[in-house]
Amino acid sequence: MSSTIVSTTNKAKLVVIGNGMVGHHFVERAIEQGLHDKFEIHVFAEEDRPAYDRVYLSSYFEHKDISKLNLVDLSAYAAAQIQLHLNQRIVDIDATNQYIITEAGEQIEYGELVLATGSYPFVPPIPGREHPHCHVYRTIADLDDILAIAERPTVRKGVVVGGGLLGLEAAKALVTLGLETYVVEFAPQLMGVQLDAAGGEILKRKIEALGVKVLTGKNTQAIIDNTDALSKNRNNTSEDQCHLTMQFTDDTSLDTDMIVFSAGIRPQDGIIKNNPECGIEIGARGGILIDEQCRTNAAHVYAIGECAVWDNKIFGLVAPGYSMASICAAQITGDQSQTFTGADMSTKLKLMGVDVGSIGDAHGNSADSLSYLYQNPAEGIYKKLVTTPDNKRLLGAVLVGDTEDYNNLLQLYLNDIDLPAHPESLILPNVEKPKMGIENLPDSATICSCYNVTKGDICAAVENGAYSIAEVKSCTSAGTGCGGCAPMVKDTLSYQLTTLGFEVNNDLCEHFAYTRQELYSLIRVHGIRTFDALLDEHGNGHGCEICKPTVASILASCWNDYVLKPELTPLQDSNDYYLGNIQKDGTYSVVPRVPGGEITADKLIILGQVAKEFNLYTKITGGQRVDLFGARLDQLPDIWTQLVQAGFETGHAYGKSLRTVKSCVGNNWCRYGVDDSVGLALTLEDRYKGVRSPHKIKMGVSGCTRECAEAQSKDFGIIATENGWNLFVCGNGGMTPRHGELFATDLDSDTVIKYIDRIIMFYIKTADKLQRTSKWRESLEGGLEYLQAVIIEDSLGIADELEAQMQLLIDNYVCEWKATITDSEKLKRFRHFVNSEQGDDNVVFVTEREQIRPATDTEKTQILVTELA
Amino acid sequence: MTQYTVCRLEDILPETGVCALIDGKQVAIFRTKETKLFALDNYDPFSQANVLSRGLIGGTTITNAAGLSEAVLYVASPIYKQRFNLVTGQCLDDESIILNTYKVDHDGSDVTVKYNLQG
Ligand code: SRM
Ligand SMILES: Cc1cc2nc3c(=O)[nH]c(=O)nc-3n(C[C@H](O)[C@H](O)[C@H](O)COP(=O)(O)OP(=O)(O)OC[C@H]3O[C@@H](n4cnc5c(N)ncnc54)[C@H](O)[C@@H]3O)c2cc1C
Ligand code: SF4
Ligand code: FES
Repeated sequence: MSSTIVSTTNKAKLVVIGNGMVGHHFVERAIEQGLHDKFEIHVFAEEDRPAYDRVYLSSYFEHKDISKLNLVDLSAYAAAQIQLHLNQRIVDIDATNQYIITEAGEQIEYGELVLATGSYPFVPPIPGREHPHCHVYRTIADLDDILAIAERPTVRKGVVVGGGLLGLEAAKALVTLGLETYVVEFAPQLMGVQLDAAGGEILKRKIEALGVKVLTGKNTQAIIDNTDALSKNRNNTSEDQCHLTMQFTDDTSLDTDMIVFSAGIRPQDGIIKNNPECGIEIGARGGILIDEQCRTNAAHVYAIGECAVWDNKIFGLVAPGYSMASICAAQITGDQSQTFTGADMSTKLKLMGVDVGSIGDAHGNSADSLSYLYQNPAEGIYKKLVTTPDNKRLLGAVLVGDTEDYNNLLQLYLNDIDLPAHPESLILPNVEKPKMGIENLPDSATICSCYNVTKGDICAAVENGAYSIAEVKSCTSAGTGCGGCAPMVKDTLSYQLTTLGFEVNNDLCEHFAYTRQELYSLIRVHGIRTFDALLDEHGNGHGCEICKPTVASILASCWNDYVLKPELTPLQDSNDYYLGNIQKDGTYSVVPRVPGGEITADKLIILGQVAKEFNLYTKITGGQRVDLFGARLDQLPDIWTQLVQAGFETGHAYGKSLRTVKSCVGNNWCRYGVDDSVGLALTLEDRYKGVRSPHKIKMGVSGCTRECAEAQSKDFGIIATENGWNLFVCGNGGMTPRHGELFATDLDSDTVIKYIDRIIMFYIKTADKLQRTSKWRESLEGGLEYLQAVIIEDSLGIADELEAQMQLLIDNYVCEWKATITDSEKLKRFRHFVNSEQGDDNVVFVTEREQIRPATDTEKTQILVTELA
Repeated sequence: MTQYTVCRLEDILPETGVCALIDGKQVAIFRTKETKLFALDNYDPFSQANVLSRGLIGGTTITNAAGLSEAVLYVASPIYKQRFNLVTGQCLDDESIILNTYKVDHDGSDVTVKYNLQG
């Protein structure tokens, strides 16, 4: 290796050895503290890639994409002029003369030195362990090796040596790789560090039920290589012969094709061990000794992460390492206020689908401690509490098979909170549990242990204006590590918002920390026209099936752009996407608009002809129009071309928008009729067709108080009287019927329209997602009178604005089907296969009452049999 | 493994899916806004209809088998809204359901799917 280390400045050097999770975290903190201004920072990494997320290492088997694990933003390193030397192991340190030596033989002087060398997997000294089919589980390189071997066709069986946390995770990986998997544990039980014997036994049974074989109490003596025998027997029937045989001290043995050692970790202190003269002290059982400030005994030398020993303890989790990294960075700036005082090692995990939790003194080792047990062998549940002799405080807990109580118990434990009179109630099923509400926690209670964020920290952040999860995350880091604390972070946020007198809003979904109403305002005020623009500025993550259609609906309510514009198309629910209602078999229904239910004979004939030509099931709907069912995707454009030619428009049966305006026949024919209900219905349907809203809107117009149009069960119902129209609002049929309320009486047609314009826009502006007008009206504080004040008296001074906004929607109306059938690009999407003109052969109809209907499963198989016969 | 050229990349609008017929099998192919491609069965076991290519793509955070939280992309069925992990085919709403996934790739113009007859 040639010399590569170049001094770019005459500043003193800050050298970091190791670019693992903790080493990298230190660099980030160092940049934050401005240490790169004072020092020339050099980072030496033995691995050939920048730091990655070891905690998520196993996910690599699923996606095999290193970039998904990457932690380092190289441009941030570059901006702070940090020199990262990959593939450069440090082989020696001289702490007296303050220099280190690289593998290439170069000597580098340092002003400050940070050791973040992590740990290495311990491989018991068993003869035969050097076999190429023996692996460890720590780095991406290890996983690549395991993959390469596991993918060989002769490799069918795998053994993990070690039944601790990581061993079980490795076993899960072997299962995923398709190997018959064994776990071999030296101790008499699984997860001996975290669980007691009985808990270990339940875990073992659960894991065995999942097909992993567990051997406990097995001490491996030798690993025998069968390769010779294998190749000799190749021509015979050696199919079941394995590559390796493990021999145990109890004279039993186990054949396997590969072995993964996961028998614990050891601090990576080799550089120091190899040179006792280097001047840095290591612990009796290895590891670099540090004090509360992360200082070693040598001046200007620090150690952090898994290579460090504090108070005789090594912390094999990332959270304590991150604390050390922050403390160390502060220390180097001269800030000595922070100290490392140990870390809680409680854990909650899902191992191969089994929930496991362990808190504090799980083994009940504390003097005179009391233990409470709950065991349910049938369901594989085991829970134990360890308390002080006086029953007052929780010392530890074990949970297997059900970890619902974990967060509760952890808070009791961490905060020394008084236990209820009968502590066993905390783990018994079907017992009302005293919930550890956020309000009961002291400010010092740790909410996020990854970043050591307390309840007090989060509350302070909220007080300073962090009103959403996203903001709390970004200013406190809470929840950005393992994510396990997310529910508590959310609860703390809600708690503090309530304390501060805010009403706690329900976020639309995880991607937007806003309600629908707030998003509506943002979109309108900022003139946002696409989902991506909204997500970039006001959301996070990818979006989902909740926010995409909601935002699509709001965008349509504000701007009424054609819903199948390329940037809007992907937001639409399947119904809006294909401009039809999807049916149970994946076909669609066709509902042309028949305004007011009035239709000419010619048009009726066209509907019949189209239905006949395409063999569609035909039904008169409850909304006074005709529904044609069973149209395949590829038939929709042809059907609609004919309908549009005949003067039909889309009926928006698929949209959250105006559906129908039902009318009675009215005074032209009816002997009781006092006004032209059909005429007004036509006007209204024509005016509001295509207006997208939080939920569907239905209207009805009756020509007299006999109310044949059932207008009082509609969102807007209008009934003719001798003195004009009576307007009813916010009625509903459907799941929870609600009678419309009389809003105003004796109106002329123009006033009816003016009020409805305003109410619809006010509803669009203030309703929640998928809230019908009935539920919306019930949610309005001040009730009907308030609504009347806003709409009739214009108490908010927004009436003109509402009317103008409605006018914009009306002016921008286009029939979506008309626009679609003339656009060849859009029509491409209306076929079942992108690469074939064939139809979906799973769509099968049978005939019933002279029309088609989808075939049932049994019918489908019968049809297939007759076809084959 | 046989390789099939299915369509042009531009045939799939970002953030939507298409369905391809591959060797008699219906495969739903999705393209995200980052131009990542994913392929899984088009058959939705819940509605027993071939419709998944017409579902909406979403993202969320799940707790994976190791007990860790993990960001995943999924498609939600257009019929009863069950969600399926685009990478693994795992149904997020029912642990017992896993769809087949397929290797899918593009070279900037053509979209190819690798499919193993044996499954
Ligand atoms: C076709 C029709 C039944 C019929 O054959 O008569 C029908 C069919 C459907 N209704 Fe309805 N409703 C139909 C009239 C009604 C009526 C009666 C009416 O409008 O006078 C009601 C009660 C009145 C009301 O809405 O207040 C009605 C209350 C519902 C509800 C419950 C709404 C509620 O607020 O509780 C739903 C579910 C929903 O929207 O969430 C629903 C949903 C549906 C859906 C969209 C269900 C779905 O997602 O697949 C059906 C789709 C039909 C399709 O594919 O075209 N349908 N539905 C009627 C179409 C009318 C039309 O021409 O557009
Ligand atoms: C599969 C797996 C799952 C895990 N799951 C969890 C979990 O769920 N929760 C949790 O809290 N923790 C978990 N851990 C532990 C966690 O990954 C470690 O606590 C963390 O990585 C420690 O960080 P570190 O920087 O101290 O060590 P490391 O991340 O190991 O980094 C040390 C780096 O220093 C390099 N190095 C060593 N010696 C030298 C040298 N002489 N010169 C140059 N470079 C050198 C090494 O190559 C390595 O890259 C898991 C670990 C594994 C392997
Ligand atoms: S409401 Fe009934 S009675 Fe009145 S006009 Fe209409 S159809 Fe006739
Ligand atoms: S506890 Fe891990 S992110 Fe908060």
